[in-house]
Amino acid sequence: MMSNHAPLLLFSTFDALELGVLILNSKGEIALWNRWLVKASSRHSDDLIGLPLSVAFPELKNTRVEQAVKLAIEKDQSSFLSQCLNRAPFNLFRLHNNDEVPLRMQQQIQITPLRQFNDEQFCLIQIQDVTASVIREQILQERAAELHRFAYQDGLTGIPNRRYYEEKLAEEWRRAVRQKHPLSVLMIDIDFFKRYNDHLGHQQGDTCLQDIAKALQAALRRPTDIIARYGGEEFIVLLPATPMAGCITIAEQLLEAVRELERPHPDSPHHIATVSIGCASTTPNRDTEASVLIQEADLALYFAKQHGRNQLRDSQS
Amino acid sequence: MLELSALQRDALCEIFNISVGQAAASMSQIINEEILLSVPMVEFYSVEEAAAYLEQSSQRVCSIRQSFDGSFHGNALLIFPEARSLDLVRLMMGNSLPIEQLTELEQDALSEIGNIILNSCLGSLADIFKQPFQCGLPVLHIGSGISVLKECDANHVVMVLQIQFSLSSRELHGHVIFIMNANSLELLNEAIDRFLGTLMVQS
Repeated sequence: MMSNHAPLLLFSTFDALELGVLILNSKGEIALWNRWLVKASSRHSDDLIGLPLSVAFPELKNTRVEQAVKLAIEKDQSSFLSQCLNRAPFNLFRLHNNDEVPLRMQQQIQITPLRQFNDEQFCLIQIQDVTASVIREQILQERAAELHRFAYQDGLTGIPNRRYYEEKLAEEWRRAVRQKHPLSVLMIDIDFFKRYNDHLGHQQGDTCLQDIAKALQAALRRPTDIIARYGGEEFIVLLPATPMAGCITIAEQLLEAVRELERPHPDSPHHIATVSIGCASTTPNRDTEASVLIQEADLALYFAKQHGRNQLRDSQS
Repeated sequence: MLELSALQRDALCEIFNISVGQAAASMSQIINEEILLSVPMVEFYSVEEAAAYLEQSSQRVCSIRQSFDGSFHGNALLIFPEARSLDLVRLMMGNSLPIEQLTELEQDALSEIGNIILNSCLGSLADIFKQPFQCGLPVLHIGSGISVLKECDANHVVMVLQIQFSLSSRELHGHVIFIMNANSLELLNEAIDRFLGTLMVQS
């Protein structure tokens, strides 16, 4: 009994499948396709029977689908087409979609040879809707990028943090050794910041840090220049391929950028918030160490503070 | 194991270089960037020798396997160290995700890369034997190097091709491995000679 019903049962199963099935004969003409595919392509089921694949679906011309069908029919080979490497080859749209604009379906396709009836070679194409996976991975990617960004960003000021700077320093140091280029750093400290906090409170102190960080970052024009928050009220700037003269010019611009904020400081001889800057520069080689450069910048900063703040000093003066 | 003459070895290398060249062309077309593939070396091993060879590195490997069936049968595999498989797929897709594992869709992309390369290599094998092989769909697996051989019989023969990828000024190395039932070895030897013979006549 069962065997008599089997062909009919198979046919209903074929139409009930939750994936697209398309069967081509040995000439590459459409022999059979299922209801899922009829719906997703919004085509009439009888229109396409007997048509060559590239006539029925002109969008497939010169795609890997065409090549894979040829491989299946002529060489008995199976092909797998991933969504990443083949962006939606068939013009198919999502079946259940509440948005007004129909969503193009992301597809994963398997194309396999099918030997049937008097040895005629058929070709089976299976299409799966992977749109949901694509959306899920986009979210995953965005989250991962966000986490990555947070790991290298200073929470308060939004500029890169010390961890980022340390990785960049190592990288730029190696590059400078390789290319025999000079490398400069600026160590920047906000003048009388403790007094500022004591007079105006920590909230004002935080805004002051944020505004100065923003002003310093905006004053750096070259995309290769890197600023980071080094510690409490200290910032560090890394200037690749920059000799001492260039480094001093940039330091002067940064001093000016902070002065231009004209942020009142109730307990500073300058009456506004200012910074002091220590400059150091070197042309690194395999025998020198980056820590020495940072120490030099630190020492220069100390001298700038000693000489009245709101100024720059370089390690050579 | 099968001792090949220098001529046979060169011929095999050359045949596979042509087929991976075609695979590289289709891959370049997909990603719109030049990819070069070459096969610098072909070797034959017994399963035991192949196991020793694969055990050399303790790294986890990513393998893409396709079965083939004809006058003899077996499996063809493309193998990379896991870290290189990550590099390859991200270089091809032009993104640098800060995630240390292959995502589901990246695994699919790797399966397709394996599928393209293995189909072209199996195409060469079919040319050498003058008969088609029925080839299955790719299956991706990540595990120890030795797990690649887990389904072989002791008397199977292993043909190992080194394969070299160049893209975006990076070089990546992997292997293509054919695991075949034992009677195929003599067939292969004869087929190579016959194939060389026809080449000689043509030239």
